[in-house]
Amino acid sequence: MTPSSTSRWQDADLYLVAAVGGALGASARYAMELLVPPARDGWPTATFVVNLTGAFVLGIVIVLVGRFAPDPESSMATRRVRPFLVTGVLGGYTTFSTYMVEAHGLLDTGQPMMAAAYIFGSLFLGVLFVGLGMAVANRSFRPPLAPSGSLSQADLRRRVDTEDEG
Amino acid sequence: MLWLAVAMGAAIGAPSRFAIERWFIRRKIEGWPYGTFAANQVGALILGVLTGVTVTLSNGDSEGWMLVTALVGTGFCGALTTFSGWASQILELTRGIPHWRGAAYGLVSVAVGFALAVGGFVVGAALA
Repeated sequence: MTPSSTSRWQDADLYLVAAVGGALGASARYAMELLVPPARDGWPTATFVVNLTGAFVLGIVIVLVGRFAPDPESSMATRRVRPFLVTGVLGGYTTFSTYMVEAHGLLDTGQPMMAAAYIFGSLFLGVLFVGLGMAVANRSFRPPLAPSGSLSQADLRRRVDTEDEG
Repeated sequence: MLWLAVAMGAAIGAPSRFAIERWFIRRKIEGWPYGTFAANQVGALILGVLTGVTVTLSNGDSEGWMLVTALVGTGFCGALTTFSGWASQILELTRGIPHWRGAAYGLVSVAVGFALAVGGFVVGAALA
């Protein structure tokens, strides 16, 4: 294999997992659009719920990836986690284009206040929900603190390793 | 059938955003998430045009056209653009120095995105 073909194809797996993840995420968004009708006043409930839940889950994923797969190049699996989950599933699930076009739709139907509320409400709450997801994950997946005097998980593992060698 | 069109469009849209993001990162154009910004704006413009065409077209609610909007709109544009990644970037920029960059990125994104969605809609309605 020539160097140029290597550099061209070596990341093909990342694009593939982003495609599969995107198809999964977008399917879930489409299902939500079918299940959740717009509110009687025209508020785009489905996209609103999709975007905020996606933001919340992304906050959790950011913390978990940072904790369990901090180095993307440590293995083929960790390399693919971000393109699959973050770029693919959550990127495909949530949408910016529909959010903008729906805001225009509200303005077009003579509801400028609701259009503004939708734009700035989604923006503010979206950022808040990413932070909330991160806070929840940080609380739930805190590494166990070793009580003083006792052995930590790492110490135990090291001891087992040495015993195996001995 | 419509669901398949959505999934197929998204299978092109999401890796396209990935490619755009990497294009900027490879060229060391960093400090502001230009890749996601570009993908979001292009998606808002395309979906604006598509929506303008759809509401103007006499057969905009036909089965064939619904397939097109599922593929290009819900699937491709939906997955080319991202809300979750965008919100996390705003949070990240806000935590950095200077803090106002987060608000600037968020507000510029919705200002330009809204303008492109409206402009696209007008162009699409005129084209149809």
